[in-house]
Amino acid sequence: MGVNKPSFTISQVMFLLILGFQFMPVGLADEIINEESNRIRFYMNGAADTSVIVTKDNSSFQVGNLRSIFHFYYTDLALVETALNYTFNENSDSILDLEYLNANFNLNEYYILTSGKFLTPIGRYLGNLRPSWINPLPTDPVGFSEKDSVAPLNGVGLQLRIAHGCFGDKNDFTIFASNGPDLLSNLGKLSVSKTERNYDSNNSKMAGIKWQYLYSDPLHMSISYAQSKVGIGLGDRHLFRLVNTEFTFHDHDHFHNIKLNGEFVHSDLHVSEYLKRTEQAWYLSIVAPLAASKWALVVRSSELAIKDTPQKNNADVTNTLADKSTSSYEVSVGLNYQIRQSIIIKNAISKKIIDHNLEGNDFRIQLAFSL
Amino acid sequence: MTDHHKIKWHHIFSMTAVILISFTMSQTSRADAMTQTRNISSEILPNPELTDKIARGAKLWSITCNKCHNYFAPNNFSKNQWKSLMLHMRIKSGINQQEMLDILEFLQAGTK
Repeated sequence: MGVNKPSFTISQVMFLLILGFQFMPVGLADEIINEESNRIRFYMNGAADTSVIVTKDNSSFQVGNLRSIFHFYYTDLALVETALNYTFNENSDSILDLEYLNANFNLNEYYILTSGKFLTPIGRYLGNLRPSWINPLPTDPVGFSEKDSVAPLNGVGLQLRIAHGCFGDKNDFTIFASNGPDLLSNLGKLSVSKTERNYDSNNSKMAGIKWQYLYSDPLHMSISYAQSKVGIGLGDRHLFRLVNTEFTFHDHDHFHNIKLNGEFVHSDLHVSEYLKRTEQAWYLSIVAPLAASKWALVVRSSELAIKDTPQKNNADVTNTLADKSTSSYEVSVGLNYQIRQSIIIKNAISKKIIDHNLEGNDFRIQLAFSL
Repeated sequence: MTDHHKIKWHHIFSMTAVILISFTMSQTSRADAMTQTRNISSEILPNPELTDKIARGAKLWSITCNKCHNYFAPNNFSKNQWKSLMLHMRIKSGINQQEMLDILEFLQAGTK
């Protein structure tokens, strides 16, 4: 067995990029830097939600979470931002979680360098649509929530955003490198951790790229790819790859202001030459404002499929590595009332099917607001 | 056809019905923003460069700032609050610095 070489190439490339960018001119708007009162600012905001959940057997009041967001900025050269989540979960435990903490440096007109813990720039839902006051339904789609996300929720590392136009249209690129996710073993079943640690225990980075197509009102779309080698400690490492695509269609002048969102994510983990694990999730949602009112109708379908597939026909392992899969499908229909831009009441009924068995309906009323 | 597939097809038809029904009733919330833009522009006509900047900012705001969440009108926050929020949103939305400054100009022009 060969010695595992540390995967430092991605990190070295990012380090060189940072050194190079120090020599690039920094474009600061004169009118901003000259205003003394606007030079340094501290700002706090956040979001919170509470719910009532009714199922066939039970009804409960629930507190969701309180998310405190802090911004500290020095003119428009640097912005430090952090989000702390205070959660009171179903087991009545109070949990404090650092969702992200990063420093963003405005290198010039188009480039921003982010360092620290950030929401993984894969797709759109995890980074932009999860907050309860933005999500048009009280629940996350299957495959995109904290409990069952296919993609890692956050990463600790470096990220470079490039907001350049090319091919005559607006595009945005993001490249990132972060501590690689760990491989988890639970009763012999392997999976990839979805929250990255502050220490790269398997000395293997995750690297990825995202391309967004912007400002072609009404269409916005993106494609993302990431990969890493995952392992338990410094043991054998396995290839983990992720691909995501998403779109938003929202034409203000036609189609009566309907917003259509969809996203698809696929990951595969090559556990060994005999076994590959794939996880795949998608959702499609429609938000339709009703008449000249603050009401909106929402419908969303989502599905998550996890499959363990034997790769080679091996008599010794065939019996233990039969083709296994699990799937979850959920559909939700909701009616929302937007009290103000930042306060929304959501009423939604959801139906879930897990492994072809109907799990029953649940009805939720959620009050969500941003502070 | 399994129950799972039947339910999936029912939901696809339901979503199609929602689209058709909502074609008959809706409103665009961007209309309010456009009205506010015209009002702002008319107040500062003597400075055409600023008017152009604000008009550019208003247009960018209208096509960028409700991709994820609903619109926030300019008078929802103070000038300094908008500054912090726009720095944060520049990173989230993928706009460049000039676009951020144009949108900020529009939003700050509409604060009290």
